[in-house]
Order: sequence, then C-alpha cells, then structure tokens
Amino acid sequence: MIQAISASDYLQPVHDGAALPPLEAALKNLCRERFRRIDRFIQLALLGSARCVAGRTLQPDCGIYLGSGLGPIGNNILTQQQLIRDAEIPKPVNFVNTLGSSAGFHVARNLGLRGQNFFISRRGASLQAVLGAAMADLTHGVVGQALVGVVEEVTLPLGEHRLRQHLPEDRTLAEGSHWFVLQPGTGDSRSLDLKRFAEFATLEDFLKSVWRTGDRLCCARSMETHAAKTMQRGFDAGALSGPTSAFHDSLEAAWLAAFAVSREPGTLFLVDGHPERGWSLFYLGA
Amino acid sequence: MAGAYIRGVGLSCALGEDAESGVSAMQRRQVRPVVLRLDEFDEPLQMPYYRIPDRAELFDAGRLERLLPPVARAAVAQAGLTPEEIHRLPLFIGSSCFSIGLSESRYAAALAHQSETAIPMPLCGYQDIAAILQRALACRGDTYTYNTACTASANALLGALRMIELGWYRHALVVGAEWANRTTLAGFSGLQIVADALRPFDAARKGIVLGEGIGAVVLSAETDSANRLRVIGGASNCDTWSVTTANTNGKSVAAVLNQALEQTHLRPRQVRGIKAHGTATPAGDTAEALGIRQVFAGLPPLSVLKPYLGHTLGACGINELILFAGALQRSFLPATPGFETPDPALGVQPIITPEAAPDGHYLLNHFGFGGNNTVLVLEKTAP
Amino acid sequence: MMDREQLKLELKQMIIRECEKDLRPEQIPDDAILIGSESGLALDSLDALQIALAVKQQYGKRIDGNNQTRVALTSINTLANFILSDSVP
Repeated sequence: MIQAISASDYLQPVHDGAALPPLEAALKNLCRERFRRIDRFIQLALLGSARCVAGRTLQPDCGIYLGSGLGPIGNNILTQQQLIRDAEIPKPVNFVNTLGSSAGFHVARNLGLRGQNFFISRRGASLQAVLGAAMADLTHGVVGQALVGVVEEVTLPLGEHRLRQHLPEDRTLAEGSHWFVLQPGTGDSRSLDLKRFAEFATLEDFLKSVWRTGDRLCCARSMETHAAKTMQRGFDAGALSGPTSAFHDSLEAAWLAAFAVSREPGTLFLVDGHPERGWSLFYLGA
Repeated sequence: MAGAYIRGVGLSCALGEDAESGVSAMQRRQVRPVVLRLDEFDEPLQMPYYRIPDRAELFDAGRLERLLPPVARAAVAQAGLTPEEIHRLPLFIGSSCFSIGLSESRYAAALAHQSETAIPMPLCGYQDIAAILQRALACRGDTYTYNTACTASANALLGALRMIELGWYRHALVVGAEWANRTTLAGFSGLQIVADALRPFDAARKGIVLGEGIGAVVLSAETDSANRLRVIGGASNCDTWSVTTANTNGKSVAAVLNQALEQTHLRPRQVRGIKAHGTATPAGDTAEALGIRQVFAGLPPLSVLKPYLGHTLGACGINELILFAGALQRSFLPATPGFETPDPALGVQPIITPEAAPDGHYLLNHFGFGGNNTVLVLEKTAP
Repeated sequence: MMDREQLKLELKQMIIRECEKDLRPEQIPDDAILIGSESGLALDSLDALQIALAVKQQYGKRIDGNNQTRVALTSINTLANFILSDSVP
C-alpha cells in the first residue's frame, strides 16, 4: 500500500496584460539558501516542493520524480534567442539549465536529498509518466520514499505561449507546481494505488466494484475519447475541484493535487489509456 | 525480479550505421572525428565532432526523422517481436537535445522571413522522438521521456528494467538519441570543455569531444537461447555539490557504485570490468577515478568508449551499452584510444589494448549535469 | 583609450549582473580574489565562464582555459589590465 503523506498545489492563472507574479519573496522563506542562476521553472519547482514537504524531514534517499510537458521553456526561449536571433554563444548558465536536470538538482539541494533524481516528460500526460515511474520504484523497493512533482511555467507574451501550444486566443493560461510525497505503509493519509488493465471491460468492472457515491472521476485528456465518454456516462461522479477554465500542459496534476490537499471525502480516480495500449487507473483514496 | 535481457539492438554513430559494424569498427580501433565549423558567430566556432556517416547536410531538418526509424527497426527485428508485441511496445527515451535542432531551424527560417512575428522555441519537443518512433513502428504503448542530461538514456533503461521486473511490461524499447544541433555545439563551446581530442584519464586530458548517436535496445523479460546478456540492476543518485560536476572527492560516485553492487548482491571483487564514463574533463575524470578507487581495492579493467563515438550526451548510456555489450558477446573488453600518460592524481588507467572478457558482471558508469550519477550492472553468462 | 576607473566600475556591474550577486559595485575591492574558495564573492567555475563570455561579447577579449588568460580573472585589477592590454584578443 502506498500513501500520499503530503501534497501541495500551486495554480496561478496569468491574465492578459498582467506580469508574471514574482516568486522571490515566497522563495526567500522556503529556501535554505539564496539560489542564484535559477530560472522561473526552477523557482516554481522549489516553491511547490518546499510547500509540499513543509518542514517534514524526508528520507535522504527519497527519490525525486519531476514531470513537465514544456519544461524550462522560458530559459529555453532565452537560450534560443541568444543563439539564433543574436548569433551569440548562449550564456553558460542558460545553456546548463536547458539540459533538464537543474530543477531537480535545486530541489534536492534545498531539501537535503541525495537519492535518484529523474525528470520525465510525456507532454500533456507527464503526471501519469512520473507517477507511474515513482509507483514502480516504490513497489519495487528501490526507493523508500518518493517526492513527485509536476511543474508548468507560463512565458510572456501570452499570445506566443498560446501559439506554441496551439491554443485558442481566449484560453486562460496558468502556471502550476503540484507535488506529492509518497511512501509505503498505512495510516491516516490518503492512499494512492495504480492498477493496469489490458481490457477496457476489466477496468470498468473493477471500477464498478470499488465505486462509492460521491467519488470523483477524472478521465485524462490523453485517454481515448470514446472510452472516456463511456466512463463519464457510466459513473455518477462528483465535481472535480481544481482548474475549470485555466490551462497548462499538465492539468491532471492540478486536479489530483487539488483533491489531495482538500479535506473532501471519497476517492479520486484518474483513468488513462487506449484500446491499443491498455489502461491505467490511479486512485487517490480518502 | 531477475533483470532483463538485451534482446535486440540498433545503433547509428560515428563508428557506422548499424550495431555490428560499429562493434567491428571499435575492434579495429577506428577513431574518426571530423572538423566542424560554425560560421554564424563573430568568431567562427571550430571543433572536432563525431558525426553519423550519412551523406546528409549536418543540420538538415529532416535528418532526425530519417535517422531514428532504421535504428529502432533494427532492434525490434533482432528481438523477433511479434506484430502484437510491437503494437503494445512501451518506449523509454533518453536525450538531452530532443528536437531542438528542428526548433532552431524553424525559428531561423521565421526570422529570415518576417522577424517581427518569429516565435522562439516554436516546438516544445519532449514528445517528438516518441512520436516519430510510434509512427515508424506503429507502436502504441506508454512512453517515458527522460531528460537528465548525460544520464538520460541510462536512467530510461533503469526505468524500463524495473517495470519489466514488476511485470508491467514484457518488452520495452529503450532509445538514446542525440544529433547535431547548434544549441549543443555552441552551448558546450561556451562551457569551454571541448578539447581537440578525447584523452580519458590521461594526465593531459583537456575535455570532451561531442558526438551524435542513436541507439535502441529491446529489453525483455525473456530471451532466446543464444543471447546471454542481461541487465540485472543498477542505481542512480544525486550529488548536489555542483550543477556541472560530481564532487571531485569521489564520494557520490563511490556511493552510487556501492548502491548498484548492493542492489545486485555483488561484491567488488566479482566485477570483471567497468565501462567508465570518462568524459576526459579534468574534474569529471577526477571524481570518477577517486570514486572507483574508494570502492575497488583491486581495480578491474577499465574501458572508455567515448574516443570511438564522442560524447553522445543524453544518448551515451544506450549507445555505449550497445557497443560494450557487443564487445562482451565477442568476448573482448575494448581498448581506450587516446590514453597515453597516466595521471598520478587519479591512480587509475584504462586498458590500452583489448583484453579478454570472461563471463561475469560488468558495471557501466554515467554521470551528468545536475549531479545525476547512474550505474548499470550487466551480466554475461555462457550460452 | 578606455578610462581605467570607469572600466573597473563597469566590470563590477557586469559581475554583479552576470552572477546575480546581492552586492553594490563599491562592495567589491579592486584586488579581491574573484573566483574559487579564496573568493569573498563565492564565485565558482560556472560564474567564471559566465564572466568570460560577457567579457568576450562586450570587450572582444577572449578568456579561455589557458593559464595566461585565466589569470585575467584573478581580480578586478587583473581583468581591467587584460582588457586594456594590446594583446591579440
């Protein structure tokens, strides 16, 4: 049995004409040291992970699993502008931060962790990828604790950020940093489970057998549409807390984190899959 | 939980465009970097580079889409997977550049066409390699794309291995992909660690030489009788001493080596050889050498493969695994070209002539920016 | 000829900007060691690269791995000397 012993949920819509909210003041209180050379993606990762851990002492070999659809996009934009538009060698700090490990490095340093430290993406389904990898390692026993986070950054101008993601002009954009501490055991915390199914019918049967009135159902955006509709019709699910109109690449993380930090009763089921790939069901219990 | 077999491989790197000829070229000690020149900067950049010997222009935008599929197809064909198995095949990908070269080209073209409307980073390409492979192989399984700098594909392999051991998947395709792009070349040049030649663990070592390479491994819970190479485990840790190198006191390297041995129930004296990471940077080799010495009283033979194919960054884990495994199958440990003068401060020397590779256990080291250290454990048994 | 005092002020501002230090230019003595464990500024090798690139882009002088130019990064004084010297960049 895996438990989510802690969670944090940062979701901040960014409206047209507004600046990105500064994060420095919040980080000053949350970080052991004043980090230099950190881009906004790293700032968001530090903010979410520190809030999730909230003074708790983690196991030093706790694994970090950071997911993101876009990654450090603001830093990558800067680097590409230096290189292509300005025909200059990219600044070393910007280049190093394009390589993917910087955010995890700073999270580990801030929390005093020395375990494995992975950055994994599956674009819009990055939560499922990192949560899957973390659940595998916990089940396998190669880590005794996992700090799982999903971070999405917004860049200005918002119009370009929307174009880059093929979003309509009126779509509200949001930044997010959504984190969970997972470990084996039983107790007062919410339990997290993952089941995998080859056949949709088996998934449906299983869900029917455990479903209780008031439970929440989240069909991942990457789930096959027809199956998602069947699911949504078949289960009388309560409304999801979390983002309704604001968008970032990893909304499933926002829904799961919002539920995890709430005191709402019941279980949230997150379903993903495709008839040709099989099905996965994450469920975060009461 | 019994590890996973290397059931099929595909490789394209400076040594050649398939795995077998790559291993043969390594056996012949082929070291063949080209000289690369980038003229768009105030002062042109010139550096050696290990390129894949295709005939295309190096920065051709269609190149990744041409280079990737044959490598993956070769691995899947050698593994003999059924169409149904291929259909459900999960992909574990490690890279440090992804499709950044395409993104650069599009941005440059947009700037040339109408600079006011050009959008930097028009592609956010973490999923692009997976998408190309899924189209080419018609596979629909789960995808995991690792981006942990130079340990990316080694970590991807570790992820695949554990999920196979849990029974989540019977087979997985693990891919490392690194191909020429301006960000990587100019970025590493700004870090001033690009040398004229790779001299791993040498007293005169000055740094890395970059290379491109695409490697694919089918990892399987089961094997056929001929193939007796198995990844039996590994470990990964994070050293927060510096974002660009492991602590030069070697402690985090020793820690991850010990974890890998512990996880696979091995003692140091059971290790028959080490494929070192050997970036040939002064600090990187110091951390690795000191770490190895803290774990091993008697040093096993050490091979460094980067002089053959360059530092293929996020793909080096898979590319070097394929070459090393190929050498083990032919029962030799590869020599390390470029090493001449021992560095007394390091106290380790890679082998300069090929040695016999007996059955037993071998370690493969990988270290990357962000403090990421990963060690894989490979087992060779008699057929 | 560049004014030496003006150049030193510019270099201090550049280091503060490139290395994101919470300092004012007057808090950096001209002879303070810039990089490494003896540095009061706590700058490391990545900072050195960041400064080297900025010096190249702003003043056209290349600081690379060889000892002669590395010495330029010892202090504000040596950096100013290096930039004002006639050596080929």
